Amino acid sequence: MRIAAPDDFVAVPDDYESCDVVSINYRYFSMWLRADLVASLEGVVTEVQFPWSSHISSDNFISRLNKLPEYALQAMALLQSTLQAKNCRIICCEADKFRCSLALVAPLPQVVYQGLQSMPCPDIFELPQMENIDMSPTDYINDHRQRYEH
Amino acid sequence: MDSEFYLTSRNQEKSLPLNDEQFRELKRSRKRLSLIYAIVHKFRLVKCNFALIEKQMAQLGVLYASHRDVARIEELKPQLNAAINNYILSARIFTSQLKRHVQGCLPLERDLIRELSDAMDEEYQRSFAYRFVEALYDYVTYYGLSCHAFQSRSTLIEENGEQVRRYDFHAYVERDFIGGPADFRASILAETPERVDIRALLTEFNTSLGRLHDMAINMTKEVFDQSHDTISEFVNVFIGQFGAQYANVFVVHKTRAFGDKVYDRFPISMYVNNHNLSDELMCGEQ
Repeated sequence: MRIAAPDDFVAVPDDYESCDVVSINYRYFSMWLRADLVASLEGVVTEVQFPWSSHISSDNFISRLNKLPEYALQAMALLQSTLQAKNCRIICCEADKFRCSLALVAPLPQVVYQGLQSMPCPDIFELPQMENIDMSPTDYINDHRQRYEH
Repeated sequence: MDSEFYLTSRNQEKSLPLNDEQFRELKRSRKRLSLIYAIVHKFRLVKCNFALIEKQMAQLGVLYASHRDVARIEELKPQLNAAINNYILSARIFTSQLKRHVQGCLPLERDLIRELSDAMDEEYQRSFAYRFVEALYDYVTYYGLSCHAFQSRSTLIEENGEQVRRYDFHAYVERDFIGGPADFRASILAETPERVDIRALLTEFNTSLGRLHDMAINMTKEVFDQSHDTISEFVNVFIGQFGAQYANVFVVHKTRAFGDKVYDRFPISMYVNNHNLSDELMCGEQ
């Protein structure tokens, strides 16, 4: 069902699409870069997983995960401001009740690694984990979208 | 049994005697009209419940797209579930009573009733939505839950040469949450996809019910017209005698066997001067 755009909609960044799945015992909020922009990117996909801090986990419990999109947007903005290299782009951000996962495309994984090292330790996360993904950006996005969009 | 029959106004100020045959004719006509109206009312109930579901989905969709009012979201979620349960219940009321209503109007027309039965079987065979909603009734009767998940989506699309953000909202039944074959009709569960989009499902189901409704109304049209004419005639005679201020007419059957008490009393004007259903049945005498 198409919904008229609300005045105070969640500020999903330009060029990103979003999907929020709400169920009884799980919730996934995700944002993806537009398909045509993803297709134009070249480089390695690196996934960085930030587990929520205990404070955020507790707040998620109280708010029944209704603030999850807000936290995911904060996480994305934080990483975007840290990694400002032109050839490094966030293609996907996914959040559930355990973690926020951000996938980036960079010429080399070291670019992401160095960026993370320079990032001030944020309050909302525990120690992040990094993984290089052996997929093209487009395949990665298609694979992840299928998990949520039926 | 020594009986007295008459027409009376609502306040019982005026009355007009009836003979035995006239009473029976009025009673039969009223029964037929009330059965046909019941078909229409029950179908309308289904459609109204569907409209409520759409309304609540639209409200919930806006709330999820904005994420500003958590309390309101939590208030609306169970309301949407209730609306879906009401829809399923009203749909079962419609399908379980439809044949009985038509049969009540056409007690001797066995072929027509068989035709209606066949049409219902055909809807069951050809539509997953019909089968699923039938099975979902048993499930919600037991568990009270008809909606397991929502999806709020924003996509970028081209509209009039411009890129705009489109918002969509879906509500789902999740197969894994229904349970196993012990909780849900096994044959239907086996053909159920991982997620069932509730609005699409009910839209398809509405089409099936619409076909059955139209068929039942067509089958009873002749009887409807006859009954309507009969009652109109009596109401008009009563109005002709006592004036339009006494237009709300009732039929009364009194019998001495009950100490001169009213044995039966029923309204008739409401069936021929029905302001609510004139569109559906073209019967309104406004």
